[in-house]
Parts: sequence; structure tokens; C-alpha cells
Amino acid sequence: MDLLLEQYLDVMRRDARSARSLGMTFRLERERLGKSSREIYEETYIPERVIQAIEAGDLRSIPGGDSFYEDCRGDQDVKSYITAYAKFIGVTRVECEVVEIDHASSSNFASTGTAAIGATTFQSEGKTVRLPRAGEYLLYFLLTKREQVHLMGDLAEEYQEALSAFGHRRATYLFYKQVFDSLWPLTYRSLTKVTLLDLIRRLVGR
Amino acid sequence: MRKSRENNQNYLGEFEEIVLLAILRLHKDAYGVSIRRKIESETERSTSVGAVYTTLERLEKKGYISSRQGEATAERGGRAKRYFQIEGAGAEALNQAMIARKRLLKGVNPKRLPARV
Repeated sequence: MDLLLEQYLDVMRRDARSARSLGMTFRLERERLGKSSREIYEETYIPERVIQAIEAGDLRSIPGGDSFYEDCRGDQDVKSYITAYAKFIGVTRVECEVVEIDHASSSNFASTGTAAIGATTFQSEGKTVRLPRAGEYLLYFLLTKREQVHLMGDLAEEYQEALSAFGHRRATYLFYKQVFDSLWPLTYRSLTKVTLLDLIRRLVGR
Repeated sequence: MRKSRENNQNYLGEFEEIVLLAILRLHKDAYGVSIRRKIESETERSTSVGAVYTTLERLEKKGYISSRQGEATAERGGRAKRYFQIEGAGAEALNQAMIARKRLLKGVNPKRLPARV
């Protein structure tokens, strides 16, 4: 499957292995053009060690590389290095072989790496079952951006396991039990974060 | 005075202690689901994923644990796992809590505790 570079960057955020595929594509294209990493540096000003890290698929060794996989804040350096390098060697599309999402459709993911509410689906007995949407809504407003990925991922994992072990009804019951049991600790945390000043500001609307 | 203030800062809540011990037991496989299951199986008490995550966030802020992002899997709807591990400060806080508990238990005979009413 061919993906536009921008789409492929989203895939890379979900699967670190795909960075190696991109790196290999870049290296082969650079070699086909007969350029060394030094020459790329001289023409694009992308540091040589960054070029080597991209080609090795080791994005974490680039400054800001960790945040590329985390919540996308501060990942602009990594992204701009990759896009500048791709533009220079003329790579606009990348062959996507590594990531195969069997159960969940690839449209589940926004560019931030978080799944859209109601978009997570699983296959059960030949039917497509959706992660209960109301439960997701209830929690989303209380979760941090990071937790929207990790905590909801945990709930999805447990839902999927219960689905294959007990069926749809029991899986839904267990999912909602977790959601309702989680409401108080998450609400309490949110309340303790709101200071009196914040509260007044919000009430005044400024 | 200063020592007591430092001790208060290192004070671990009961659930924080349980979560830290679960992470310690799970070693490299400590993420939300496994931590919650470990707590439920070992303490026989029901725990919500929300309670686990709010505690993990608190422990991370205190510098007792650190976390790293794992890979996304299809079973999780493509969402990544977050793995946790104990840091030196966390091990120290856990150690202090254990020592305090040991001191308090000195001379207590569990067989001679008052019967439940």
C-alpha cells in the first residue's frame, strides 16, 4: 500500500518499526542518486547524524525524537527534518508494509495518534463490534491527552479480551463497570487541579 | 523539624505503595492493564483503571516512577501501551514505608488481635 509521506508519518507514530522502512526507502533513494550523507548535509543543512538516524529508523536519537512518539508536541524538528530530506531526494510516497491493523480500521486515528471517539471497532463472530461510544465520551473529557491514548487503549484491550471470552453483552458490562468506577478518581483529580482563581476566571468567561 | 518535613514529602499513600509494589513485581511488563490485574489478584480488591492512572500520574510527578511509550497493537484499537518502571526515589520511598511498617509491627502478635465484631 502506497501512502503519502504525511500519512506515513502518522503510521510511524503508532509503530516504531515503520521508521526503519522509511529510513531504508530514503537510503536507497539517496544511493540511487549517488549522494553521500555529507553531500545531503551541504545542500540541505540537515546534520549528518540526523540523516544517519533517519536512515537507521532511530528517530529517538534526534532531539525532540521522543515527543514524536508521545503527544506530538515539540516534534516539529523531527517532522521538518524528514520532510526536508524527502523533498530533496524526491520521495513523496512511501510503501507501507509494516503496519497492518487487522481488527481496527486505519481511519481510527487522528493525526495526534489518539483514536477518534466511537471509531474503535473489533471483529466478533463475523460481526463488527464498536467500543461503547457513550463510555468513551464520559471519560474523554476527564483524561489528559496522553491518557486518551494509553488508558483508552487499556480499556480497548480488556474489552477485546472480554469480547472473545464472554461475548458482546458481558464485555460491554465490564467496560461500563470500569468507566463508572473510574469516574470518581478522575473527577476528583480534575477538581483538585482547578484553583479558585481558575474557577472565577472560567465563571467570568475570561 | 526539617527531617520530619522531608519524611512527609516521601510519605506514600496505601494505594501508592500497592501500585509501586505491583510495578516492582511486573518488572518490564508493567502497564495499565497488567498493573490493575496484579493488584486485583494479589490484594483481592476491585480496582478501576482510572484510580490506577491517577495514582501513576501522581507517582510520576513525585519522580518515583518513569514511563516510556510502547508499540501500538490492533487489540488496543491501535493505541500504544505505556510502560512504567520504578526510579531510585521510588525504591527509597518504598523502603522507608517498609521499615516504618516493620517498626510498627514489632511486638504485635497477629493471633492476639481483637476479634472482628
